[in-house]
Amino acid sequence: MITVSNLTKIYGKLKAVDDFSFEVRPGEIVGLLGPNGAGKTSTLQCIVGIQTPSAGVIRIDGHNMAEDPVAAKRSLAFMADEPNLFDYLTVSEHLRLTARLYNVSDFDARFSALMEELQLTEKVSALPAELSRGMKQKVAIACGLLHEPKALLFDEPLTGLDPLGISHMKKTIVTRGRAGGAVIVSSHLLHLVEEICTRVVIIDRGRKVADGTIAEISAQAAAEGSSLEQAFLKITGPAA
Amino acid sequence: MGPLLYLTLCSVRNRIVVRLRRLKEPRYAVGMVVGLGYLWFVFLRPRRVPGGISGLLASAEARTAIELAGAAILFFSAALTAVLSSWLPTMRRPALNFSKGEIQFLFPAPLTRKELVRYKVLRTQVGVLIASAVLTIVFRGASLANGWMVFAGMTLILANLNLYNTGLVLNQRQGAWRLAPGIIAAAATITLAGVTALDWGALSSLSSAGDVFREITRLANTGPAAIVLWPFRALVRLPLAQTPAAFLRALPGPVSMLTLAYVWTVNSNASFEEGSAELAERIARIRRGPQPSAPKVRSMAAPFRLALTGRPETAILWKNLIAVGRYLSLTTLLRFLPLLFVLPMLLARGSRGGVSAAMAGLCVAIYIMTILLGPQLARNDLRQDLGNLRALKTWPVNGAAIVRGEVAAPAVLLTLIAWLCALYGLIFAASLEVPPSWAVAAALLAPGLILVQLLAQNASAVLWPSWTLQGAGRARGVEVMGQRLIMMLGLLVVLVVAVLPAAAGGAAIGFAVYFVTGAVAIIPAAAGAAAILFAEAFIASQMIGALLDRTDVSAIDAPG
Repeated sequence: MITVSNLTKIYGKLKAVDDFSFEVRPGEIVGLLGPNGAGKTSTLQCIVGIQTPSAGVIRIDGHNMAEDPVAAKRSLAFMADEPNLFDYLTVSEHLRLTARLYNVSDFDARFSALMEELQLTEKVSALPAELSRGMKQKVAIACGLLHEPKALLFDEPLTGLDPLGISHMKKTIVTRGRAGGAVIVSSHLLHLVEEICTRVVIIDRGRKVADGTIAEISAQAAAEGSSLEQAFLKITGPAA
Repeated sequence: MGPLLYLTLCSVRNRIVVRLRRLKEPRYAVGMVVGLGYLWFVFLRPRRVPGGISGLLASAEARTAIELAGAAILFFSAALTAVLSSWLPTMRRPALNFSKGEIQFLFPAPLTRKELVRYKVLRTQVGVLIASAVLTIVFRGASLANGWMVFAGMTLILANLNLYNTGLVLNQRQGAWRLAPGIIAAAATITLAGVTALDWGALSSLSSAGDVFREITRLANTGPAAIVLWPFRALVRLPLAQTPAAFLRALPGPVSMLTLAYVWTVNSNASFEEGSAELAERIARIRRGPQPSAPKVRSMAAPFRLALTGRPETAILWKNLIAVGRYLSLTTLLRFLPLLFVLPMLLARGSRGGVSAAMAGLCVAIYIMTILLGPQLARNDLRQDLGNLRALKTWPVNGAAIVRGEVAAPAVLLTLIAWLCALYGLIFAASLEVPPSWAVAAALLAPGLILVQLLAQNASAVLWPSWTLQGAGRARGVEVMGQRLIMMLGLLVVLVVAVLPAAAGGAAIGFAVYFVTGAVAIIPAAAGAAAILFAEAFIASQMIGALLDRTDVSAIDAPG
């Protein structure tokens, strides 16, 4: 569903992502891990078309992001770490705009269900200025889920959420994965990745350094039986 | 070196280094050259005729008049601030404007309150120095040789005002003393009013302006008025000084006042932390961009109901029209609508040819301004949405459709204004025997002319986002001013290039009709030119869309 082949992203003299390849199949929830500055956000932004790769190919549902970005983006949803909403649109107007952009036909039913699921029912007429950060995050997620995307990318999805919101968010991600969605979760919260992801890809200094299940990665790090945290530190630590 | 001095010096040094470093980029270097050239041409080039402050100070009488006027302005502004801050709680504002970073790092740090106040008060004086430099350039004489006296004088005036205002706000939270500045200011104002009232008989009997001026000068130089006005006249005297000796003679008073104001402000024990935090949050909100006010939201509906299927351009137009509706109150605009209809009808009636001509001229002026300036001012398009470029780039919509949708809202609004001008011009010009075809031609040409300019503005936003970015991400400085001048020139060239084929096409159609029918056909000519402009706009939207598709959001600069 999501195929990243030999992705390279260069800013000036800095190679943020270097020949990075991985794939996410339908039903998989892949955790994208890496230290600060490893190239996670650049990778995610290249996948969703926000940034242009310096080299490499990205395919979403078989569509090449460089050659047919409109078709590729139609199957995709990106939930950024910072919810950037339009200051002057209400919650319901954000969703209506999204519905029009993605040609969502049964808007009313999906809208109600999402508002219910994300506990936004009482906020449908509110502007972003009237919402807490967590609420804004939920609106961004509702917009992302409205067109039932086949590929979902979450960048630090738990930031700003309360405990109930965290629980709902984890459930939302797992539900989409089980329903056949290809999901990428980028996070520093290793326990979240351990809890919900079926596979983990670790990136460090722009290069892929590990790819597999948590057990496989622990084995690769020669840290059998240890936690993902220990394996991660071993793989990305100074001695690595 | 203390930590706060270190912070100040590092901040100033790094800001300068960043500005200098970015001059390595040709666009900033060229912008700097153009910006400096503009500043030199407008403010610094040698003047043949003495201008600025020295031109005004030719006579002693003029100097006294300026001194009294300046002192009166300073007095009334100081008195008004004191009275308002003492008795009107809504006028109370945070005394010290700390940034969010300063609040996060300095408030929890082991620093005394006095150290924080002193740091902020002294840091604010950097702005005072910059403002004084600008005022010196503006008010300088034929040369800058004696400019140092204007600069030092302006600095002392602004620093005194700044410290006075800060001290006023800090001390207004001090319980029983809160009302003291207001009472003193009120007493001083009553004194001046009383002196004027007592002398009213003499003043009203004087016949010439010169006599009135001399009497006012006498009042200001004697009795209680002289005491009340002394601090303010002492301040104003500094930048007016004609010789270094006169400047030094005038110096002790303002310096003593500054010292007193500094001691008063820095020794204040008032709470400022909470207010500063609120202010920092408010400033951050303002820098993020305009925020609609919450209570108005529910009363303002979307301009039309967006269907769930159809072209994406309509959805973007809908979104941007909502923004306009929520920034401006359409209800307020509609209140003026009857006036807009009734007034022209009344004025155009009968023999009021003069008024009709004036109103027709006004319509033409507004029409031209809407066409030429409107596309620069109405920015509710891609220029406003640059901050949301990340979201826009994830939409399954090609760049050309995004560009067309984005420019649609300002194009529609500006076209409506231009059409209204054409309509009113037609009504007013009825009695002036101006052919109606002129107004129809103007109405036909307006949308195309507006569209090509909006597209040029949006093309520059896509090509050079950092030149267009507003709010916190906006770069600043002389070089940025130069960039804007270059951009304005470029847009003018684009307008000429776009209009030339349209004008040629329109002229060809006009001549063809004239040769066939013998009639001057301004409407077909305008329609032909409009069609060419629309074609150009469509081609331009395709090209800008392709650029947008290739745009990398990481190309948008960090704030400078």
